[in-house]
Amino acid sequence: MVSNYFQKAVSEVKPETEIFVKHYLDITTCILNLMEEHGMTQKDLAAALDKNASEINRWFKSDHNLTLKTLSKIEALFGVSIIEVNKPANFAEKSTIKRTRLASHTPQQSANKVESSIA
Amino acid sequence: VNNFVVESFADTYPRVKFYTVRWDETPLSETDKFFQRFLETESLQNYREDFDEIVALIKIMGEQVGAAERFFRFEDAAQALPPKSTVYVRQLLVSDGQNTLRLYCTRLRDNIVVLFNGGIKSSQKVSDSPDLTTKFREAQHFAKKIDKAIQEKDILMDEENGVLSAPNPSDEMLIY
Repeated sequence: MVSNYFQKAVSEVKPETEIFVKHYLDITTCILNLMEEHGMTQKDLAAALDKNASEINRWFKSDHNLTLKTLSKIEALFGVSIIEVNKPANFAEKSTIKRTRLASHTPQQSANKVESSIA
Repeated sequence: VNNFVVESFADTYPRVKFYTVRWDETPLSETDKFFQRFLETESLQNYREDFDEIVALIKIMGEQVGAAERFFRFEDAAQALPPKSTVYVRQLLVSDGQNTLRLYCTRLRDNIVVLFNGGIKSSQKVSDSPDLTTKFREAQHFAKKIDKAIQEKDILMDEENGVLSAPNPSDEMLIY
């Protein structure tokens, strides 16, 4: 049995909201596990990251979003990767192609093209 | 007057079975009232993102991660908790601190959560948030009564399967 109102609510949740909540749960769980493995308290983590203990507490009590910079510091501290980016095998190659295309198609060229099409 | 029924709210998830409470002789459960209000009230649609985060959290706990202790937090703990009680009124901890909604509940196990009602937290204290004061008081009432019913075996808890039932499984879990 599932409440009809709950079913309706679930069906209307935006995908990005669900992704955000999942990321948040995964990332904070990951950090808590790392702290536990290293026998570290929130106070220890705060000291290691040069932050206030109250700010660290807010990460886990929902009052504060973790920034990419802070996540990077935590990864450096523990020497592990917390966030991973899905990269296809030809990721670097694709990025190069994109940059090359952009470089060969300068804003000035685009402007010229627009002008010539108007003329 | 204060009798209520404990009943299923969402029991199809593998990791958590969610229950709710319904005042006896009333059609909607307390949690349905919360959902109906934030789904259907035009003037509350500016809380929709906060509401959706709560919905997503319930779904993700149920489907994937279970009802771990740390996904919940106490509300006005000092006032709320009887010192030796094992069951506390909590609120779902939803990711972003900008979330102004609270949904009260009692987490019985990693796989059993009873959801109550909730509302808008408009100030630091529940007592200063008009939308929450009555619901918080009711949540305390529900949590204490459910705790007592479990201790006195008026509600049976199958911890392995996350199931609550009356001693006679075909009866409602009516609590006086």
